[in-house]
Amino acid sequence: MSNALMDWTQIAHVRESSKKVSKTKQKENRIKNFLAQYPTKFDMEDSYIDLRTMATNYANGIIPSKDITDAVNAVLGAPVIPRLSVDPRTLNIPQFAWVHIDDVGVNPIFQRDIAPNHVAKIESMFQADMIIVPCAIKDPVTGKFLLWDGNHTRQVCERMGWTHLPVWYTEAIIDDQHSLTEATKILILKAGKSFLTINKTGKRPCGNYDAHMISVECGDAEAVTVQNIVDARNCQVKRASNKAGDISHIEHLYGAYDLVQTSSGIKGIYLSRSLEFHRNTWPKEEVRGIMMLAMARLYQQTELQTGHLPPAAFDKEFGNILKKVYGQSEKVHTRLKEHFETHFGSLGGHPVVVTSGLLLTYLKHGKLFKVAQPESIYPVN
Amino acid sequence: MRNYVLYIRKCPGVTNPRHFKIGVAALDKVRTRLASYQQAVGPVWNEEFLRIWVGEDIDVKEAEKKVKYNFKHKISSAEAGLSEWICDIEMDAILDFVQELRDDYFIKLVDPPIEFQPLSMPLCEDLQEWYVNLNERILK
Repeated sequence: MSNALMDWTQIAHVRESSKKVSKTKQKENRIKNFLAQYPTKFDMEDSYIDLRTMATNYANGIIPSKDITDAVNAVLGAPVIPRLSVDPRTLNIPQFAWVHIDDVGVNPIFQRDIAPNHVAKIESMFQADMIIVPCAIKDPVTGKFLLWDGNHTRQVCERMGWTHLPVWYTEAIIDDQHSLTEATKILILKAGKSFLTINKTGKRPCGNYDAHMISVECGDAEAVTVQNIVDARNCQVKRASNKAGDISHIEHLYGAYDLVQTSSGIKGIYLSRSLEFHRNTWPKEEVRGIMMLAMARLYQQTELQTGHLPPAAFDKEFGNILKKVYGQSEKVHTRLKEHFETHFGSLGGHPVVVTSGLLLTYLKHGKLFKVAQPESIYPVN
Repeated sequence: MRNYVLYIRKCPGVTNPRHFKIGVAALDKVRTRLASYQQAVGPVWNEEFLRIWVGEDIDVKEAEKKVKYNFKHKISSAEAGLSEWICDIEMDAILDFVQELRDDYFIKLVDPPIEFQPLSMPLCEDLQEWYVNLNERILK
């Protein structure tokens, strides 16, 4: 009797647990509900929320802070502390001050060595209204502001003749429970942890995609030129490439752009031609970064060695060869790398390997045009 | 380079399926893959792949990726076990897209002879032999 009852209890439990919604499903539902309010949908992943597309839902293109928070909450779940429930000004940390530069110092316990070449680098880009405010602790013993972030900024400001430095700082809490020594120790520990968090653990470097998009939208001349070439060839720069004409390998995009035409001294000619080749040959495929760069190099080397760019008929002939021998663009560079590795025993630099492989493939199957000599020679299909 | 199979399967026992799973398996392991599915349904149902295509690893894997992306809106959940099921769809829509992958994306997939469609456990070794012979004929 009791065994039978236990069985039923277990079955009931199984049924109950099968109704439970998993954390993955809960997240999916939160994201779905959140996106329902927006006519233009956008990607919401753990690693990024596509703010550029999200902004198109707003008449002025500005996304309110609350909406971004709601988006992040949809991905992460609701925060423990309710929004707008804490006034940080009452916490009194950190405080802001314009500090006389002679009152600023460094305690190497929580600072790395200073790099004069990094000072030179940021000095060349220095603009008074663009500095990030350095962070410090206020030493209770000396009264000096000891920087745990922005030491190189301080150096540049000082070399620029500034009398004062803007500083966010925290002070030691000295009370009945903490002596001066203890409070100083706590403060130093906090500074060390903050330094490491800012410079190591919490650092999220700006990716190439973000750097390109920001440069384009802020009017950087070179980025705008690259974008214009991309647009003209009916391609689009994306964080991840999925659709026809998507380009996600920004490093190779700029690598192809940077190839200078010897006769004119102009950049971008080979990138443009390479994109045209890719789009005409594989119109439904995303643009493979290494193929884009390798084809641009092929055009550059061929023009250098033969005196002229191959005509449009070359693109057609070579495109058909590649589709017949390999098929999709992704397969072309993958197989060429494999051939190289099989022949030499290890893989070389991808641009050289793939450019050479493309030239070797044309030399083997093509008939009509003279092309450059490959930098490396190995058997290909 | 390794040869792979792209396959479509349905829920076991369903006669007019509207949900399909797209997947890949190495050609020499396709029998083991079918065995895993068979293990789950037991002796009351013979597991099989409704449609299969054979090709090189890179073509088959790219085809799977493209099919999943193309029918992303038909994949109802990223939940484990559900993220590969394309739901509420006619199988012809998937077949048409696979054809498009061959014609317009230049992904090389080979249709095995009709006797291997659908592919059940007893046919797996024959399929492997057929593909090896086919490649030998092409090389000659």
